Amino acid sequence: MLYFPQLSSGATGQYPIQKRRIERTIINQLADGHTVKFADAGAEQVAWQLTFQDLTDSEIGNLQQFFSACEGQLNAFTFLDPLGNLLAWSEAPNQPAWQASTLLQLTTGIDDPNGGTGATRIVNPTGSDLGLQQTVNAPGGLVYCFSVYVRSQNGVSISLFRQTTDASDSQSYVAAATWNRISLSGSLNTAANSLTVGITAPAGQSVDVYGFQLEAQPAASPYKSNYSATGVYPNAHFSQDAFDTLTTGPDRNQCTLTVTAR
Amino acid sequence: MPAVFPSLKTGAVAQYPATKSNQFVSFVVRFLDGGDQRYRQFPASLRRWIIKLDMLDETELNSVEQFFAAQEGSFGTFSFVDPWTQATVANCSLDQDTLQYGMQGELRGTAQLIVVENRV
Repeated sequence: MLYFPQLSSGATGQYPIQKRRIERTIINQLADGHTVKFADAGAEQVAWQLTFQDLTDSEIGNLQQFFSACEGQLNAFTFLDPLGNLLAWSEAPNQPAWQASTLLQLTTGIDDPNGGTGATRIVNPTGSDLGLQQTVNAPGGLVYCFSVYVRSQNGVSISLFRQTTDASDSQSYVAAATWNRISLSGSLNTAANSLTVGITAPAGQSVDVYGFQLEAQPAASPYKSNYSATGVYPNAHFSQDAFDTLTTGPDRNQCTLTVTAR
Repeated sequence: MPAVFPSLKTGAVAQYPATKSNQFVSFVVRFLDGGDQRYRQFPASLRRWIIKLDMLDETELNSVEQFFAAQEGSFGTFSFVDPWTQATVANCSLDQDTLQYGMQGELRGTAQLIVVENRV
């Protein structure tokens, strides 16, 4: 499985990053200004222009090696949107993208920290801890940050976890009565091709959650809501056949890469 | 999916500089003697707004992208509040099939949306 490498900082990209979302609509415009439109969903495309500066020789070497493995535009790879949220339905844990015990009670439409009603109340009426989790088809060994806003009237201890088939990590937090954003960051020592992240609701307790976010970087960025689409693009390609690098000094390299995905 | 035009955290829809235009279409028949006869093709003008956004954070930029994706470019329709008059224009579409935006740095996102009024 080919996947776009992270820099030594754990980031996928550097500022500035340009992103382009392309749709195609066939429009028949009538003389009086009326229009008849047809959406061509198959033509949808996303493109990123990634500009890298001050890369070490090792980092530019990794990128060059990856570019060679892809043979330029030829081979597909998995690309994790550096500007996106890798989770689907980030405000709707009752969607099928999420896996939860049937005993866990989820109530949507709860007031959220942004003044909306996008939060969800999780009630665990059982005598044992229950999890709510989502699996993404992204390499498990990269650096990720999983974050979520939590609130609980009872000051309960909840935990965030991250796991693959052969590695896992978790951390406990005490949820306050006001909204707080908690996060779990780091990398797992694994070569697994999928990653599961989630939250554990303690036995007999209730907790409000809002804004699940997973990013391929060491720290959480401002929350970005997602619906059915995720920031994982398993069929990305370079849109260039040449890898040009500029070395401006010892251990200082720069390059620009353009990635497209459907 | 969001069908409401995204507003910024300030509550504003647009930033300076903002552009608005009124589109008429007339058909002009010119005669050999220099005279002409003119016909109105559009029963009324159609409005168009160019919304240039700057200094956005990632949440705001994401809202713009989600809205663009939900609209499928120029395919969808939505209600738009004219930033000049605050009047709601019921049937509008985006006038672009490509959304290009960028993050020049933290809290330095840029994007542009073009909104047109549809003939009802």
